[in-house]
Amino acid sequence: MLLRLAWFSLWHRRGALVLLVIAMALSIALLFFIERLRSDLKTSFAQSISGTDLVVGPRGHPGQLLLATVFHLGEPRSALRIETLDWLQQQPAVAWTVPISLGDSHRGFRVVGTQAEYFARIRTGEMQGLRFAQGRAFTELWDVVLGAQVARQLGYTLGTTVVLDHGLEAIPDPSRSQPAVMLRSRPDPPASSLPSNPALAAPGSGHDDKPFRVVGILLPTGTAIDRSLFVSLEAIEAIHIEWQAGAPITGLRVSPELVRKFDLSPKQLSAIHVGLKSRALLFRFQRSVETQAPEPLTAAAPGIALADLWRLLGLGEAALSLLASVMVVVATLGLGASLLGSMRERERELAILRVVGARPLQLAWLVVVESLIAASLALVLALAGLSLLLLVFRDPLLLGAGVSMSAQLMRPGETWMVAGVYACALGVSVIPGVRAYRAALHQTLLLR
Amino acid sequence: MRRHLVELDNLRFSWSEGEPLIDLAQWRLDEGEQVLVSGPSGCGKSTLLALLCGVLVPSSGSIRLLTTDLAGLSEAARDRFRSDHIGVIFQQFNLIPYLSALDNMVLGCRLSSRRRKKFASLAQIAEAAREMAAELDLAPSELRRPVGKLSIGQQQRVAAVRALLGGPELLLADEPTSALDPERERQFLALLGKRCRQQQTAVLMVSHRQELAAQFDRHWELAVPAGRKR
Repeated sequence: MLLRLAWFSLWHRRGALVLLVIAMALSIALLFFIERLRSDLKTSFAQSISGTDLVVGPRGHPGQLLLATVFHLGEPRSALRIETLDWLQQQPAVAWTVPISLGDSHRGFRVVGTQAEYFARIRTGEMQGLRFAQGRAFTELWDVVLGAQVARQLGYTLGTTVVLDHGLEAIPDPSRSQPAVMLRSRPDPPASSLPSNPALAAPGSGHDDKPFRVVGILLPTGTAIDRSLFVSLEAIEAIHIEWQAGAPITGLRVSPELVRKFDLSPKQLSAIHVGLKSRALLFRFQRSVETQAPEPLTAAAPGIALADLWRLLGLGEAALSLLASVMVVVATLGLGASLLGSMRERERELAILRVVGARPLQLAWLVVVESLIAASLALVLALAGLSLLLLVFRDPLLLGAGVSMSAQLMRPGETWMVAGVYACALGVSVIPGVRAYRAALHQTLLLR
Repeated sequence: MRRHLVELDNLRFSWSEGEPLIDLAQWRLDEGEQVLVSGPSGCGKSTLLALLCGVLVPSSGSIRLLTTDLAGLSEAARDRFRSDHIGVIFQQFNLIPYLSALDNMVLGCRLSSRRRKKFASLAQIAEAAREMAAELDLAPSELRRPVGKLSIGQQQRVAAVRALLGGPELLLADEPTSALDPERERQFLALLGKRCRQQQTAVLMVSHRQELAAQFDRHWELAVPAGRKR
């Protein structure tokens, strides 16, 4: 009966309440969104790399090494010698190694030189290796595999002939529709010694002499992999061959066929992903890498280093959460103010209910129940709206922001937020509730 | 032999120190009796009603309803006693604006467990309400409408159904017809009186209009207390 009364009472005042409920729903949706984003970011952050036990790179800060190799943030500061790879492979604890060479980019996307084994070894999240949406891993020198976002954003498909050129400046693509990939060479030490000659980068000078061919496109992973292009380590050597030949000469071009005649075995690496035979060996092996290797190295255990990094980032997201929580409280206070404001006009109604048999406590409950119903409506609206939005914008979110968010209505860890919203609604209804109670108790001659 | 429903003995009530507004040596209302209480404004008519339904407590003396002394009950018990045994109609604005006419009618029975127990089910309460509404000349189509859309006369009849449903022993009415024109007033009182006689509900109606006395069993004129005369 009380529920029914409360519902009709709310419905009667729906005009003003609709806005309040919407305000509450928005703030609740924001809170849930931030909390989900937070946990999903954390998950996708932690799962950016899950198959690798250690990332070995030049000596430096482990966090920086991971940022550069896993998130492709910043430039790797120096390179590893190829002998280090050989040394690692000889260690009894090592199950596998996947070297990578970073530093090149293509229209804002990073190019990763690696081995075909990369696709089988590198795991993100629960995925067992990287999966191809189309095609396969690279096998030939001029094969290139695209991350999901690269393919999507640049409109490349399997078999797209990718023409490479290199220069020191970014080359503006005159016709975006033309499916041509320009691989821009990194400004690595030999390159930076070159005079910065615009003529080098002039478009139209031999675009077609080293065509890459798209042979595979990866499924989205929600990690930096989506924003990367993958070629073989040999290809990385090949696109730098003119410089390796020590030829800052504008006219020198080595044809794709001729390139194969050069020694394309990689000379330098950026980092090496290492899988161990047993995780139990991790710390001992990490120490031995840093002390016994032929050159100064840093071996970063992704899980531990990422957790450290996350703690740094955690401050900001905690502040964001707090802000959203405050918004929920503010919106709920609005509801409370509205309930309180309505008490005067409801005195008559309360008097009638009292005379008809409602006890003062029941009338106080009526107000509290109204507040809880409004909160429930806001919650349902918020969660349904959020799920719908996530359902619709799931792919853009994954590809654009690299966050994979599932469109569940509720998640197990979210009950505390629901409880919090109800606690707020209960809290703000106490004053109008007490007011209703006292009005009912002290109303004496409202019979007129 | 009729029994007394209401017994007032040495009843005194005053809002503050000084002359009492109400000072009655003895007064009785029989079961099923219909009484008009009239008097000029300020004579304490409404205060008497408030005392009778237990909203106010007498300064001294006793009010016994169904042999229960109201002053001896706790606040909560008085509330329950009122909703179990007394139906009330106000001058106007009797209804909860956001409920339909039918929902307003059944409100009393749903809030009082004693009245509800007189019916086998909630559906039966609604059925009884419809029947009584028909007797009071309310068309079934009016019952689903928001009460704000009803005329004052219709609203008062809805209030009457609410007060009488579940067969309370006493109906207290405070100028329920003051917003009606004389013809509608007469009709309303006739229907109300007939219905109350059927279900043996005593009526105590307050009005400043003495000419309504013809429609009642008894007429009781309250005088303005001596100390309050202007």
